Amino acid sequence: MKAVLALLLLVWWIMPQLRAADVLHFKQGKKLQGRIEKITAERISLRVSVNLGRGRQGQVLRSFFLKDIEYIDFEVSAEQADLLKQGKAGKLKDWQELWNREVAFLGQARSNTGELGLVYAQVLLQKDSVYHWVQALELYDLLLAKAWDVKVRGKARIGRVRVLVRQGDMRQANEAALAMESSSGSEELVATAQLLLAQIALIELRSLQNKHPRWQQDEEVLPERQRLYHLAIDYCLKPFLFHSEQRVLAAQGLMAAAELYDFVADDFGKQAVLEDVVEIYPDSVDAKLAREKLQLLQKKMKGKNDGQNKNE
Amino acid sequence: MKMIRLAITTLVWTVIALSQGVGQETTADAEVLVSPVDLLQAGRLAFQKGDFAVAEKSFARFFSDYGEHAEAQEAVKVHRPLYALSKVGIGKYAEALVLIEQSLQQDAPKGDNPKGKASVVDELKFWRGICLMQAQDWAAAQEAFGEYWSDERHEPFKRYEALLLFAHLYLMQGFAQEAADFLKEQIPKMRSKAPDAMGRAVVLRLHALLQLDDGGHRDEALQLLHSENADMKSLTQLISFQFQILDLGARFLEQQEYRKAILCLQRVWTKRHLLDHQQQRLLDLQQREAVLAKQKDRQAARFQIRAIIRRVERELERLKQVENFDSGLRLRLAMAFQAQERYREAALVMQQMLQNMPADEVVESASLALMQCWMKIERWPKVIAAADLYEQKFAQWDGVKHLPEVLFLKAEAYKESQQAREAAAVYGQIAESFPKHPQAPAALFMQAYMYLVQDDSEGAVYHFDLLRKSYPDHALVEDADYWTAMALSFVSDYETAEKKLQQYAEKYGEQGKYATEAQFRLAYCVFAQGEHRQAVHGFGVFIKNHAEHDLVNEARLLLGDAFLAEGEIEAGVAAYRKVEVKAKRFFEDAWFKIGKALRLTGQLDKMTAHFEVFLQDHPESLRMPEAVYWLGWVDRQNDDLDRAKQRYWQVLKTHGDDRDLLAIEDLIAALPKLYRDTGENGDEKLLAELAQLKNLAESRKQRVLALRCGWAIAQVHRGRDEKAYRVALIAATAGLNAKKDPTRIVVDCAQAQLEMGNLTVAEALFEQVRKWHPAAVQRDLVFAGLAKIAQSKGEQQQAVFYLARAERATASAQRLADLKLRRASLLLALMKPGEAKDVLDSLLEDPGGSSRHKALALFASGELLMSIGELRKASAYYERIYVVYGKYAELVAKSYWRRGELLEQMDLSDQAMEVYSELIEREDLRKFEVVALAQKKLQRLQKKGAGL
Repeated sequence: MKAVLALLLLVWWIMPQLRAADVLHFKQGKKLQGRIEKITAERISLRVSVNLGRGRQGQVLRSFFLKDIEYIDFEVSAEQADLLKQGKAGKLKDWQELWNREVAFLGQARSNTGELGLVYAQVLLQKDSVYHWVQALELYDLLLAKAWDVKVRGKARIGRVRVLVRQGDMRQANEAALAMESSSGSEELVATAQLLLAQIALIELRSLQNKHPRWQQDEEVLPERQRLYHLAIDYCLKPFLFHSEQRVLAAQGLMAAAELYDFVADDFGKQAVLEDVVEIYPDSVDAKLAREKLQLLQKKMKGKNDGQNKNE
Repeated sequence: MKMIRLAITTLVWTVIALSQGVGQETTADAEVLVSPVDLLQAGRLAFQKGDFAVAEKSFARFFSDYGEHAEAQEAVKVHRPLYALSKVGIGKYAEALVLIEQSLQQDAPKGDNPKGKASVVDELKFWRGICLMQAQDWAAAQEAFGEYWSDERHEPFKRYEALLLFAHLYLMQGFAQEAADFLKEQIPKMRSKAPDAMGRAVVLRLHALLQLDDGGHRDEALQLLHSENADMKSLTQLISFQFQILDLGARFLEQQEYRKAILCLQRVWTKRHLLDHQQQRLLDLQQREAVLAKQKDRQAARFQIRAIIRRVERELERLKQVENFDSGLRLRLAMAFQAQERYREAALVMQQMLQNMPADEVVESASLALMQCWMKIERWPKVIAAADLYEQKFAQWDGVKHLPEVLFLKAEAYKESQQAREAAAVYGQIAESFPKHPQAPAALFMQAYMYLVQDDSEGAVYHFDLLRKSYPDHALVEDADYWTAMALSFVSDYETAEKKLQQYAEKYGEQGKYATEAQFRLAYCVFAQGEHRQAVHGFGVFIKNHAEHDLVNEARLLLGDAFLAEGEIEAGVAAYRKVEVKAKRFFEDAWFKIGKALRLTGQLDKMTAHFEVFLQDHPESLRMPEAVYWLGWVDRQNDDLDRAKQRYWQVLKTHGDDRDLLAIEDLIAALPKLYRDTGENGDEKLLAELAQLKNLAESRKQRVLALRCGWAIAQVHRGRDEKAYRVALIAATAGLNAKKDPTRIVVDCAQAQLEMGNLTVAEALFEQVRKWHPAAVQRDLVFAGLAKIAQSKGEQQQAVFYLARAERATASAQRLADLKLRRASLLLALMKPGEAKDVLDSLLEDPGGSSRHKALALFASGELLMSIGELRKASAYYERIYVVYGKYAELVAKSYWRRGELLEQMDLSDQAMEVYSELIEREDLRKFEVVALAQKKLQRLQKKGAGL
């Protein structure tokens, strides 16, 4: 009896450390509420309340085969909710601790571990150290391999390319983005891949022009410069041309194209894409900025024209 | 009664379906009945079964036989609605309308109707509207539906039907504006209550706005599209809606409102997407209907679903029958971009069509437009790639129309990207495969022209001739005539060129396209044949007639030459003096030729004054040192060497700090010879004076002049004391600014650093030159230097890359050959014998290559072939060296030795002995080590042969 009491006390003591209420949904249709304590490759341990009679409640640890479970409704703990609310602004240490506790649930259907992983990876990526970027890359690889949610896996693919870009590994970043673009993934994934490819080409273009500021005179560099420039612009425009219903990405691509046209001092190209954003995506977050840029550009172009007319 | 109501409901949906074009046939015959009870029973039974033809027949007989009987009046009242609806069921709307009106006026109970009777009235009122519609009495029908809609006691589903019909009847009466306004008001109210009807209302409103078709209404339609875009997927008539969007986009395109057109066209789905989506919807609806079919109390809902199913099925059928839906859509989108001169966007859209869509006539013509767009933004590789894909895609397609045009654009792209050989091949393909195509003559002309570009005048003349023969009346024959003469002139066949130009002048006269140029060229051909008197006349006439022509200054220069050749020096000088400053090269040529004329006529004072003016007015000229040289030459003729030196120093001090005066380096390079020519210790004196000027420049902060002095000091040592030369350059490296300082000096310093093993400094300097002066004439040296550095670091592949770039950059044939030999050797080391062989072959085939380089290339080829086991071929290469290139003794000796070794390997001991003997016997080769080795070998082979 003493032993039972001690056990109950122990259970009561550890209770706040555990999840509040997770629900296992069995393939046979049965449901069981409790607190998940452990998940292995094959089994799951759930602490459940039991009626000990005469109004007394106790708790026991029960173990089930994962293969018998359809899905689990995971309870979002207060700590998780708080960190999720903070998002990327959360402390790296807190995210690290949370991740270490949650990682075991990554493959379990309906767990939000994948989403946690995505935020944690972003927290790592925003740090200014190669060490954290490598960690982020490994994390994305893990999400790609184990996350149950296809959306999380898609975002992990995108995140992975972003890490490679951050690391300056343009060759691998380019390969990964190209694979994404040619995949049969969602329109969102493909359009994002196109924007990443544009970004990579733009970085390479800027780097090439920094290295060869007189590229126009360099017959060896000129073809590569032209290739990168066209590649970047083409990819900026592709979400707009081929995935126009991905409105956020399409508008982003047009804004990136405007930036690129600005870089090469092509006022007419810039004007056209900014007008696209204003007229075709007036409700996008970029529309306001596009309108402002367009006004400035029109002033500039008018000034130029007036100057030319005076000279003539 | 319940069964009757069910039958009415069935009727409603059957007639709705019928009104929408889906027919239902009735084949049963009315039985021959006699008693009124039997007739009514049969009518009711048939009505219940939905067999309206039989029902109508039965009721008709009852009404005709017993309708007037007083005792039958109650039955008449009860059955008149069924009789009316049976008539509706078989499409006798006019007769049904009469019965409906009678029922509503005479039979309908007044006041609060009993529930059952109210439903009959409900039906009758609805069907009254339908019948009026069928009678094309639009106003009355609309009124009927309006009344029906406004009475909220009516069955809700049919009320929305009535609402839609009400709006539809506005359109039938030509009141599209009213329909649009009415629906605009109703749509928001319907959204939650009747989503399906709301969807149809949206389609109807868009239809009304499209009917109105003016700017304001098109914009309103666009607004509707915006507001409904998010819910588009849920529209039952999605396909109709999408067709309307496509229509709207096309109208915007016609009105040149391109961005609005783009907005619409981008919202239209692909045919596959639409079909998949609506087929999935159809499946869902069919499943829902199947479920409802089992629920007897939900038959009304079932019939509603069935009506929706029929609408979806009809739309699907309509879409399936549309051909080129996707390609037509994308082409319109591309056109909207193209019309705004946004060729990139247009090309990207059409490129996707070519890549992903099945071959059809729209895709085919879009492919041509695609290439034209890429041409507009000068993306030549894209044009070529698109043409290749086109050829591949449409190779097996019967309707191919644009192949010649596509090939022409491909050839143009090759031409524009300086791939003349490939361009000529494609132009030739057009001329040969499509001789009757309108572009064939142009293709043939361009093929000839591309031969000309490749310096193949013979090929060009042949094809120009072919053009004349094949298309004698074509306008391009004139071009072919002129360019034939030019091609002949390019290969110095001036006599024939002259004849051709004369023929051209006679044939086309002053109106000829090239009349002016031909006149000039004719004079030139005469001049080139030594007919100077005639040339004087020719150039004279040209100058007189074309004083403003681009060629006039060249003509003046050549006129001067012709006069001089005739001994008319004054006339020649007068002609030279007329060459204008703006014709820079010809002007300088003329100036120096005047100087030469003054020299030849012994007018040295005038010659001095002449070049002094040049120095003063044109210090930036690259020929400035040449002017100084001629001034010095006069001084030397006058035994005034100090004056000669003074002139150099004066220029150096005056202009030496100006970085942009590139000729200063040439001036400096001439100094050592000048000092050496003046007697003993010339170098020492020069070095002392240079050091003095350098100090002075440093104290005056004339950085570039000081640097040039440092470089000049190195030049004094060059070729005499290589170490001192390098040390001087390394000393000059300190504070060197590759961006601003003279590139020639920077490159020399980098090379010196490289030679001294300072790879990092050398590399940095070379890279800086690459960065800031990519078009510098020394860029071959830069790449060669970088190759050497890469090689030192063990980066052989990178070294090969740099060497290839150095080859492309060099203007020196000797250096090119050296670079090729280096690259071949590196490629061999990288186990790329094929590539190495190609490089060596190009060296061997180069008609301008030196014999030393050819001998070295042969030897390297021999080594290469030996390394890959091609012993017989290698043997031939070695043999060629000592047969053809005997003057390169060391190489000849080595070749004998290598060939002897090879023959031994091939078990041809006798021949090997012959080769060794020949080597040993040659006295001129005895100093080389291999001779002693050959002697040993020969002895060993002789012993072996003797069996010792």
